[in-house]
Amino acid sequence: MNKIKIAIADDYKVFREGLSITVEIDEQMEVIMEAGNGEELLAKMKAHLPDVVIMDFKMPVMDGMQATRLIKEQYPSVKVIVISMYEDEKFVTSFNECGADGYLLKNAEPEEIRQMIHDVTGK
Amino acid sequence: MSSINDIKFFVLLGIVIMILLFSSFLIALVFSQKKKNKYLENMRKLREEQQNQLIEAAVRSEETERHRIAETLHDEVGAILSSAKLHLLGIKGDSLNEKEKKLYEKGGSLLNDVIKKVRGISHNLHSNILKEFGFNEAVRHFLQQVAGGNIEEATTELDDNFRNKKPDNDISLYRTVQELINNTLKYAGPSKIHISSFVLEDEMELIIYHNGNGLDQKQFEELSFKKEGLGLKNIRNRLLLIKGGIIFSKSQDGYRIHITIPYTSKP
Repeated sequence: MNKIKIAIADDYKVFREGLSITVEIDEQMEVIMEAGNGEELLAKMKAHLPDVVIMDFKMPVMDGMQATRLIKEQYPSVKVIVISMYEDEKFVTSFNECGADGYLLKNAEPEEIRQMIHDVTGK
Repeated sequence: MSSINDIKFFVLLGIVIMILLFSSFLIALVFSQKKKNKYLENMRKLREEQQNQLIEAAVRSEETERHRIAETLHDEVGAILSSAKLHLLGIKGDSLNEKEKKLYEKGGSLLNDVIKKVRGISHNLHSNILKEFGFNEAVRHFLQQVAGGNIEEATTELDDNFRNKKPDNDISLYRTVQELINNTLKYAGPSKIHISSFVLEDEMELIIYHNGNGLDQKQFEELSFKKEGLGLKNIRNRLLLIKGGIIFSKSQDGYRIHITIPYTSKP
């Protein structure tokens, strides 16, 4: 069975590591790509595509909002889960508007994160 | 005869000259007084302007510093803490013995506490919501955060026609409300708080109502000139900057704080 391929975009390496550990506990998932901002992510996605992108809201160069919009334009099949420090529903709404498939808080429980990946991919 | 006429003429001439001299002296005096007044008035204006500039500089640098600390806490410290939690929870709970399991769970819950705490401090220092979604949204969010669960009723009714064109003024008004609400919760012990606002033709009025043990105008003035009344002094300075007014009043059903700031909805 094919694993769910995951890309992580976040400007903090330490948080990317935490996420990698969390998702790879699930044997059906593997992290194939990491990027420090939206632009880097899009450049890497030219070579190969993940199934799911876990995207930080606030990043330098190109933020999560803009990157989500571009991914949804160029690769509509790729699912995007936004993960952010901001819990206000206003932020959630603006992400829904740019096409994100899910929204998680950085403080989410590991189980929630893995569950959402399953949910958005339907796998 | 002619000599008498001559004398009359000279006396008259003398009187006229004296009157002329006197009146020119008077005119000179009035002018110099006016000049002096004008000079004093200019000095006063200049002093006021300088004072405002000083307050403004102090307020701005405080805001910049708050922003910097808030951002570091929120982004950097927040990312490390969240990652620490994910790393810890990467340990499979079922492989641990009873004692280890307790420690593992305690560690997790302490991490959750500190993550919440850091986020709270950061939001208090600098509101991203204010920047992204404006004053009304920030006030709603703030009230919910500080009052939610602690007091019976915390409600808002804010006029959505209020859209400030100057973000700096928004910050000053927001800080004023923040300070007032914090003070109210700390000292007045209310069970109800209601914040309402409405836009009038050339001003915006904001009213904070609460049913605790509040302040009237006299008490506010007294307290805000005392050294310890730093919070109230801050409020005065902030309002001075945005040319706002503040009135504390007491009525049968509780206390009200009226804030008015100049505002026009025309572009």
